Amino acid sequence: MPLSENVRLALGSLRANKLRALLTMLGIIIGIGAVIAIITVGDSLSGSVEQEMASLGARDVTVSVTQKDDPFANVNFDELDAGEQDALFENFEYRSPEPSDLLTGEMLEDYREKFADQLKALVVREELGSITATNGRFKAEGQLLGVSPDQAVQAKLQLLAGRFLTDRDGADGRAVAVVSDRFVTQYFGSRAKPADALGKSFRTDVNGIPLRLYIVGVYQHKQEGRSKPTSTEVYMPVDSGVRLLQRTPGYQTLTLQTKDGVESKPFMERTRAYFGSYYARNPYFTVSVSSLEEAVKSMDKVMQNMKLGISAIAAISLLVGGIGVMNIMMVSVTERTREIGVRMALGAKSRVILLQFIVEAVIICLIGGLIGVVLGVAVGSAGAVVMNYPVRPSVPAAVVAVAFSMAIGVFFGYYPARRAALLDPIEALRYE
Amino acid sequence: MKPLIEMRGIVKTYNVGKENELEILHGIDLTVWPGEFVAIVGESGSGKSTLMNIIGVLDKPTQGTYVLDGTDVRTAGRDQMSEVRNRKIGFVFQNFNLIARTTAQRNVELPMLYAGVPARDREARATQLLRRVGMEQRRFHQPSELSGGQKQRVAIARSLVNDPAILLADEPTGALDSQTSRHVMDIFHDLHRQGKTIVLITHSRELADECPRVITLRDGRILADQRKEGTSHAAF
Repeated sequence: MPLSENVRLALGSLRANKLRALLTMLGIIIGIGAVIAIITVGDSLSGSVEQEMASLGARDVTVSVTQKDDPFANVNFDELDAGEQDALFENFEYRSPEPSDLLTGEMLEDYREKFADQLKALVVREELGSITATNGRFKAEGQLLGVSPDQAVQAKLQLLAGRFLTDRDGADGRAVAVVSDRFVTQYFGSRAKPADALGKSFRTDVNGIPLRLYIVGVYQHKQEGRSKPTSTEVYMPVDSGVRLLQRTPGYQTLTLQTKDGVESKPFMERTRAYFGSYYARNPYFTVSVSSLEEAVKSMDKVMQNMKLGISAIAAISLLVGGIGVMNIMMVSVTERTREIGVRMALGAKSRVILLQFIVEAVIICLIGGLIGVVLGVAVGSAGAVVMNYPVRPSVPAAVVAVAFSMAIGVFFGYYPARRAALLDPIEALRYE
Repeated sequence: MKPLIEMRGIVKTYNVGKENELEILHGIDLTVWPGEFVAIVGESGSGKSTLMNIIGVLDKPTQGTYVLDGTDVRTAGRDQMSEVRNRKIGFVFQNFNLIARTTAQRNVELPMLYAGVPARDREARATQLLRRVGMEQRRFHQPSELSGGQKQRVAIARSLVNDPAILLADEPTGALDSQTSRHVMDIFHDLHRQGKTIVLITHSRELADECPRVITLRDGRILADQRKEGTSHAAF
């Protein structure tokens, strides 16, 4: 007998008992729905993290000057009891780095030369403070950052007009800046084009020190999230910033970006060794080299464990659901004993009867699984939207879930179907 | 000409070897030739249901041989028995036994479905047989929408679809009023005239007497086997 006939028969039988079929499916719906919901949320979350990491640069390596033997760096502070916490504070004296403790321009030049074959970008990025610039009734706000020219590469800036900062800008201590298109419209009015701002200057002050900066380039501001930021980043050469704002020379942190194909682990090791050599004799400070990649990995692991936990609960629900299916199939077989007898008298072989009931169980589970997937994606997507992640329903998970629910149908449908198939036709025909 | 049914020394015993062992049939010899219309009549407890189950290949005898249309069913397994029933036996039951929530047409197609007949042929053949029993107009009705007589006519159409060697009718008028009973019996007589071999199982002497050959069963033995004069197969 063709499978399509069995499917037709099964659908007919389910139609005759719609409510019963639906209630039977409930366990499967809940089980599959829960798994799909959590996977949808999880994938959306990791998708969002990945996206963020990509924009921040997950492969970026950060080099920073840190205090030696910083006990806070190695312990989880929250896990300690009060006494241990006090002991930590008593034994640790925080000190701020002296200019001699910081990375110098020469170090960076030397490093850049030695690692030229592996290095795509070396970015120095010092926060200089927030600024406000007024132009009549217009007012622009920004975060002033002293950066090295590679910032454009690292932050994947897209220039709309002019140029980015150059090495000469920093070397000559020029008071130049690259601003965002948003800054331009804030400062010059909404009709101003990026090109209009080139060569113009704006006045501001940083912590009381007046500053006049000439705009040499305008980059496109990338919108992140839904709210429009009032302030955007304003870039000036870090050397100019240090000089004009009378900051101590030297850098506490720098960001490195490797060329494609460079293994990050050995690269980080060599970088640590390079900078570490400068600090071998420094009693208080050293350099740490880190990358976000590892943080992402550990987060993925947490996510995996969470998925596993939810899946275990879902598995129990599916088990209960499967038993429900088995139960209802037993009822169905009993109810239709006479029909089975008639079919056998008319020439249905055992495996035809077996297949008929297995197909029925599989269809219950399949429909339940499909409803579960739809429900799970809906709930998961709603959750992702509420938590402000981009929704990313997982197609492989849906396929696996549907296939798995069908497998449940086969597994739990087999025993009742076998009972039907092995009925004695005479007994079955006589059944009232 | 070879007989369609050839039974020799059929014994049926239930619960063999147990304390409550019970022998129902005590050695039945029965030969049915092609084109015969045989009534097996007997009171309840006479063993006619057991004999019908064996003739219909629903059950196997404990002893004896049974050759149905050239097939020795003694050695057949479960699936082979299904196959024999499917191709050689057309069942008509007292309570019709149509499959619920399934149209008359689909019910009639069922034996062909199990025989692996392609869908288009099934449909044509089912329609043709429903026309033959006068149910063509109602072929898309479900059993719950049909009267008893109509159900039995659908069941007769169903019993004929695979062109079986024997039409085996078990009290086919038992659940019908006298008028519809008459109608159903007329269909059997028509089929007999067209050359069908029919075995009718009944407790009603009156109904049996309509048939050209009457076998009377009592206490698991054949009490009488009478052929009427002037019937087409009286010569055997």
